[in-house]
Order: sequence, then C-alpha cells, then structure tokens
Amino acid sequence: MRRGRIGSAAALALLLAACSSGSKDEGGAGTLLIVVNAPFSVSPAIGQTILQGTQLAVDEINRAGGISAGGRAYRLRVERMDNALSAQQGLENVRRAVDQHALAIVDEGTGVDASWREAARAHVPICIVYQGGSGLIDPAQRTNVFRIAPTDHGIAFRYAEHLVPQDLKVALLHDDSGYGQEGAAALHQAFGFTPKAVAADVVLPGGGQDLSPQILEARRSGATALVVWAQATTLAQAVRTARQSGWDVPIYAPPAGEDPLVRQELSDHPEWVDGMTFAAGRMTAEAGPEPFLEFQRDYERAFGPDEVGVKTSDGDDVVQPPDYAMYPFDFVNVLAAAVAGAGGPDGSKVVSSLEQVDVRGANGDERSFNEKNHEGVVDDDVYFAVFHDMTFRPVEDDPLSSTLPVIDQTR
Amino acid sequence: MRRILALSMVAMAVLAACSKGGGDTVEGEKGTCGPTPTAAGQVPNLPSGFAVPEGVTVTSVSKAGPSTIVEGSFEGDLDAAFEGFKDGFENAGFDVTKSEQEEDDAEVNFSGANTTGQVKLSVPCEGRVGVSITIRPA
Repeated sequence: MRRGRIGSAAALALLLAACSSGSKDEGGAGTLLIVVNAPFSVSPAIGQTILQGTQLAVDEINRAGGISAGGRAYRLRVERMDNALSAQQGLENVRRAVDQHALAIVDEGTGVDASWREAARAHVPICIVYQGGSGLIDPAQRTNVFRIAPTDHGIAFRYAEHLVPQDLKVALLHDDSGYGQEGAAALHQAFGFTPKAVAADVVLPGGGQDLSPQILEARRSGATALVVWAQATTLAQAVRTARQSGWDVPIYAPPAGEDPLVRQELSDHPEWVDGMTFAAGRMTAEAGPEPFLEFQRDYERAFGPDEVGVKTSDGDDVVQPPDYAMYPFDFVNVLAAAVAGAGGPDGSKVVSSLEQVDVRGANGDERSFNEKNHEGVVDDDVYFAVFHDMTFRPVEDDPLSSTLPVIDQTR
Repeated sequence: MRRILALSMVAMAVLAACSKGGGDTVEGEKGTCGPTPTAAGQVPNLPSGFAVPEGVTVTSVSKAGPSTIVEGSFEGDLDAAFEGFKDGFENAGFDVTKSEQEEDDAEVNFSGANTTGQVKLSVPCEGRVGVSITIRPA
C-alpha cells in the first residue's frame, strides 16, 4: 500500500508538473492534442470533411506506433470545436485549444486574423485548410500560421487568365461575409489589370435576402459572365435568381461552388446547376490519379462516402470526393514530421521545424513550407470544374484542367 | 535597378522547331526530338525585372488576362534546367517559394520584382526540355 501511495503521489506530481509547465504531452502520457476548429453547425460538409481528413491521418499515425521523437513515442488525439463561421467563436475556440495545450490547430480560417496571436503566444501552429484570404498568411509576422488550401489570389488570377481572353464581360459579385469580402479583394486585384473586362461590381446581401435587384443590376450592365464569390447558400440563391428570371448567363464560383449545400439548395431544379463552374485545388497530381484514388478508398473505408444528398438523373446517389479532406490529412503528416524533426512537441521548435520538413501528400505531390512561404498549394494548381447532372468534371478549355481525370462521384 | 534574371547554365543550343509533344515516340519511352523550335520573331518586353534565361529559345509570349505566358524550350536535361532556373532566380534576388522535381516534369515557383508565378518544365522528347512560364503581377 505504501508503494501504491508513493506511486500515486509521483504520478500526481508528474501530472501537476506537466500542467503547470504548459506541456503538450497530456499528463506525461505521450498523447498530443490536435484541435479542429471548423463550422460544423453552419457548414457541416466542410466541417466534417476537415475533421475526417484530420482523423484519418491521426489514426494512421497512431496505428503505426505514433510519432517517434526524442526517444519517445507520441500518440495523437483529435478534438473538434465549432466556430459556426463566427470570428469571435473561432477566437474563443483557439483560446480553449491553447488552454488545453494543443499541439496544433487545424482551422477552417474564420477568425484567424484575431486568433493567431493567442496561438502564437503559446507557440501553437495553426494550419488553415479552407479559407484562402491573402492577409491570413504572413510568414514574417504570423510565424505560426500555415495554409494548405488554394488561395484566393490563385483562384482570382486563374479566373482572370481563363475568362479575359474569352472576351467575356464579367460581373463580379460577392457576398458580405468575410469569405466574400476576401474573395472580392482578390478579384479586384486580378481583374484590376483588365478593367475593360469588368462589367459590374456588385455586393450581394447575405442572410437569405432577395437578390433580384443585384442580379438585375448585373444583367443590365451587359455582363456575359458572372463570378459569384459567396458562401454556399448565397451562391445557390444567386444561381436561382438568375435562372428564374430566364437569364442563362455562365456562372463561375470559388470553391464554395463545390459545397454540397449548393446542389442541395438547387435540387428542385438540377438543370440550374448544369454549366456552373467552380475553381478548386487539383485533386490529382502529375504522378497520376492513383495516389488520390487510394486516399479516397482509405477515406471511404474509414468514414463511408460523403453523400451530397442529391441524385443524378439516372437515380444514382452523388458523393463528394474528399478533396478538402486531403489538406488537413497532409498537414497532420507534415506536423508529425515536424515533431519528429524537433525531437519532441516543444511548440517553438515544432513551429520552426514545420518550415524544414517535407512529406509526400495524399495525391502524391510534395507538401512543405519554408521560411519565405507558408502556403502549401501553389496558384498554378487551381483548376476549374463544371457541373452536369449534379456531378462535375474538369473543364476542357483550360490547359491544366483539360489534363485532369474525372473522379467518379456516383455510388 | 532593373534586376536581370541570370542563369548559371552554359552552352544551351538553339534548336530547330519541335512540335508540341515531341517527335516519334514509343509508348513508355521518350522519342527523339523533331526539328528545333523556331524562336519568336519579336519578343515583347516582359514585365520589368524578368528576363528569359540565356539558352532558352522563346517560341511565344502571350497575355492571358493580367498574366504573361512565355513558352519555350532548351537543349539539355531536366536536372540542368531545374537547377538552372532555381539558381538563376536566387542569383537575381527572387525568392523560390516552392520547387519540385519528378521524373519527367518539374516546377519552380517564384516571387520577385513585383511578380509571382511558376516555371513549368516538361520533357516532350529526349534531350529537350519544354519551358512554360506564367508571370503574374503582384
């Protein structure tokens, strides 16, 4: 009994020491926490795919024995926190993550402008895996913030490169969310060099308001194409409003166009989705489709396919490829390599080590950061896909997109 | 001061025109190259601070919206091209933000002189490297 009391006291002392020193090794048990900060309640598809991509990598690492660093083995665990697309909630979640001595935060991006400092003080790296706003990443100032996701800059410039040579008169529409405003800034920069190509610049009110006045304004401007940078529900409403009025104008969207919510909202008129184009990061790499397809198989084996909630005209269920799961998956593997390289979970060493390591990503591409660059997806890896019958395929009139395979989306 | 992109590559020959995709090929192998590429008659001024490296034959320069697309080729292997572009960017004060080389292709992403972009290298046929450069204003 005496030995038990000493053992218990020692364990308690170890736990207290770990807690007071801010150790990321939970109670000395060799378990490190990764927090997923994402909009589970407001954009469940995005939140869930980010969480599952993170969990898939964590499970694989743990099955392989964990991260070997400094002569110890560390396991990982994941905790989800809902940011509800609120910057304030995102910030509070990061505070909680820091209080819980998180090793890292996988973040959808909302609120990072405020939350990065909280994380930086505790040497906690944040990896943004959805939002692409330019100001979010600054390797010189925000040394703890990284991103693996296509950037708004890349999407906007690729759209300008794709649409301007077609002699289209483009109306730029954006909603008043942070997502929309960041996208608008990128569009203004990219299309600002060819102002004659821009027919109109219109702000769409969010919150389910009637968009008829704004769509009419775009139509009256003589626009022959719309770029609608808005969250999924507003984007769907813009499509509905245009099509209901009989306007068959081509519509181009940011990655939100791929959100299943858009197709769900328009499922009563699937023909309105046909022809809508969205931009996103390429799923497959130059090495060919097999690495991504293998990742997709592993993902679906673990979690089942991500059902979009709509069917094709043949009655097949439509599923979403796990492209946005790839980014958190890759980050966790980069993070694991960084912990190993740092010799342990010391935050400041891990943040530095993140700039030194590289791993083979889910689609076969190399994933890495460096001192000058904290972006994991290059602008030239943005591709375009067009919808038909509730599924999408790479467009054929873009040099990159036309080389990419079609990923099966029916079950 | 205008920054000139300089390469450490030496002795790149100008080749005759080569059609896209290379010459005769056997599946799984790179065939011999066809005629050497024809240099563009007149190369418009590239964005300030960006110069085509020595030894690269520029076959076309075009605009795509805000961006400039430079197509070309040079004699040599992918390794030399990849290292040459990286060295050239760094010597000229550009940042190589990301680079990656596979067996038959490579990319060098850059930032500098108020531009960002990518050099994409490919091997259309044995002994020739295809060059495609996208230059975006910052």
